[in-house]
Amino acid sequence: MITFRVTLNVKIGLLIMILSAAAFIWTYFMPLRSMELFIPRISLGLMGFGGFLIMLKDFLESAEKIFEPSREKILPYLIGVPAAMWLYGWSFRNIGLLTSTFLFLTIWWVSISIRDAKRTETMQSVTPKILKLAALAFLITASVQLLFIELLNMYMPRTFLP
Amino acid sequence: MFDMDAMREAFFIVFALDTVIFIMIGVVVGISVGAIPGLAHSLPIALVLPFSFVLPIHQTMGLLLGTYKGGTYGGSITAISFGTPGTSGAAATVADGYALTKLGKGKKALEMGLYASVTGDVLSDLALIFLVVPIGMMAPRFGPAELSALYFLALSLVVVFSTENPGKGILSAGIGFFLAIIGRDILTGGLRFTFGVRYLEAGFPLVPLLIGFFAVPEIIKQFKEIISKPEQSGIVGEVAERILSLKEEGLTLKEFIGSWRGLGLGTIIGTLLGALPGPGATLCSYTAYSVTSQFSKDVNYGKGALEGVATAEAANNATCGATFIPLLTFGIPGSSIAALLMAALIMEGVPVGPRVVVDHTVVVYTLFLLLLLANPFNLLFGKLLIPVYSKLTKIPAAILWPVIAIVLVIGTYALNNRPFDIVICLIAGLIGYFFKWFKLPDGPLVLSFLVTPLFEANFRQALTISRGDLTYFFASGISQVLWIVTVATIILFVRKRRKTEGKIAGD
Repeated sequence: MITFRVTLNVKIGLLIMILSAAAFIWTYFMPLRSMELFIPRISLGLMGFGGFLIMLKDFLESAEKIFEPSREKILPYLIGVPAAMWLYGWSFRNIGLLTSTFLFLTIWWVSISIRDAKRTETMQSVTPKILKLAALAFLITASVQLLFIELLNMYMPRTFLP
Repeated sequence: MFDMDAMREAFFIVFALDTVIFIMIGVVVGISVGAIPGLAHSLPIALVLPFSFVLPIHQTMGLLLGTYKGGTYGGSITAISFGTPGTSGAAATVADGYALTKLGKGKKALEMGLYASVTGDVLSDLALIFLVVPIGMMAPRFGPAELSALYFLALSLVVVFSTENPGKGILSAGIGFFLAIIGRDILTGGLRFTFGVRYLEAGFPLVPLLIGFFAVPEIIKQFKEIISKPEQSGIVGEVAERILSLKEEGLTLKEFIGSWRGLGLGTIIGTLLGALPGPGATLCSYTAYSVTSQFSKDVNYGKGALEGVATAEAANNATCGATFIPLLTFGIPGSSIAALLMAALIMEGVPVGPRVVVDHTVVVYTLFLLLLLANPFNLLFGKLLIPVYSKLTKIPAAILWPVIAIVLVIGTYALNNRPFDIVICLIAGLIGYFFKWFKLPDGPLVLSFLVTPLFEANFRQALTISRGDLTYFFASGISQVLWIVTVATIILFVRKRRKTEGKIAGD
C-alpha cells in the first residue's frame, strides 16, 4: 500500500521542481534565440524531472528504505570556511603572499594549540609547541613563495608587505 | 610500411644519456606539479615549451612527454590521499581512492593508481604504435551527427549507471548541463545566465570548478571535525613519531590481477575515446568508471574498491598515447595538451599532418620510443613518492588541512591569475557540499559539464548542415550503432534494476 510521506527529500525535490519550472518559463522572456536556449531548456527540464523523480521515489518507497539527509548543523562552517578561504585569497593579493600565508597558518595553529593545551591541561608546555609550529608555518610560506613565485612565475600585484 | 633503418636511428637517439635525463626531469616535474591541486599539467608543459627553440627535438620531446605522463599520473596522488584531485582527469579516482585512504588502505590505493596508470599508458602507447593508421582512418568519419550520438551515449551511460536513484542522476546531469551553458553562446556569442556578472561571460572554467567541487566540501568537513571534535583531530605537536612509526600494507599481485576488468575496460575506453578529438582524460575516466561499475563483482565499487581506482587511472593515462593518434594522422590535436605538443613539434620544424609519418619517419619513431621509455621512469619516481604521500595522510587534520586550503587557493589563482577563479572554486565547493549532503552522484555533473559544449557545438552544426532535418542524426552507420548501443544499454539497465529490486523484495 502506498503511504504518502512529506520527507526532507520530498521537500527538496519539490523545491528543485518549482525553481527549475520557474526558470524554464523565464527563458521564454529572455532576449535570446530559441537555438541559444535549446540546451538551457534541456538542462532545466532535466533538473525539474530529476526533482520530480526524487519526490516520487519517497512517495512510493517503504518507510525503512528512505534515506534522509543529515540534519546536523553545518551552516556556520558552510559560511565560515569558504569566507576564510576567500579572505586568504584577498589578503595575499592585497597585503602580500609571504605575510598573509604566514599569518593565516600561525594564527590558526596557535589558536588550535592553545585549545588543545587547555583541553589536556598542558598549558606549561604550549610555548615550545607554538614556536615549532611558527617555524613550520615559516617553512611552508617559504616553499609557497619558491614554488609559485620563483619557479612558476605566478603574477602578483604590487603589495605593501612582501 | 615499417622502416627498420629509421627505427635503428630513433633507438640510438632515444637511448642516449641526455634524452634519458630530460625524460627523468620531465617525469619528476610532471608528478610534482600534477599533485598540486589547481595546477593542471598543461601549465608545466606550457612553461617548458620555449625550450624547443634551444634544445634538439629528442630532448624537448623527452622533457614534454615526461611532464605529460608524470602529470597525468600525479593528479591521482592527492585525489587518493586527500580527496582533492590534482588534475581534472583524476576526479573519477576520488570516490574509491579517498574511501580506501579513510579505511587505512591509502598505500594500496596509491600503488594501484600508479600500476594502473602505467599499465594503461603502456598499452595505449602500443595501441598508438600498432593502430595509428586504422584508428586514424576512423576518426574523420565522426562528423557532427556521429559525435552528437557519441556524447549522448557517454552521458546516458553515466546517468544510468551512477546511482541507485535515477532522479538524482538526472538532477546531477541537469546541474552539470546548466553550469556548462553559463557564459557566451558558442556560435552566436549571446550571453546566457551571466546575470550581469562580467567574469561569468567566459563561463565556468573547468579546473577551478572541479577542484572546488571535490576539495572544498572535504575542507569544510575537516575544519568542522577539527573545531567540533578536538579529541578526534589529533593533538598538534605529537606528529613526527606517530607518522614514522606507522607501517601500511602495500598492494599484492593478487589484488592487482583481481582488478583486470577495470584495468582492461579503462585502457580500452581510454584509448578509444582518447583517440577522438575532444573528450579528454576526464570524460574518458568517468565513462570507463561508469561502464566498469556494471561489470565489477566488487560490492564496494564506488565506496572504496581497488578496481575503481584501477579503472579511473588506467582510462585517464590511456589517453596519453591515444591523443597522438589524430595528431600524427591528421594533424588534429585532440586536447589542449596535444595542441601544446603539436606546437613544440612545429617549433622544431616538424609540420604535423597526414604526411608526417612518411616525411619524418625518424621523428615519429623517436616519439613512439620516448612515449614507451617515459613509462618505467613514471613507475620508478611514482614508487619513490608513494611512501612520502602515504605518510602525509597521517598528519593530524589540524596541521594538514589549513596547508591544503592555502595551496588550493593559490593554485586556483595561479592557473589564470584571475581572482574570480577563487570565487568560482568556492561556489563549486558549496555545490559539491550539497551533492555530498543530498547523496547526489558526482559523475553525471562532471561529465555533462564536459560534454555539453561539445554536444551543443556538434548538435547545432549538424542541424545547420541538415537544415533542421533530425533524420540526419541517424543517417550514417556509425550513428545508428551508437544510438542502438545507447537504447540497448538503457533497456538492459532498467531490466537489471527491476530484477535486482524484485530479488531484494523477495528476500
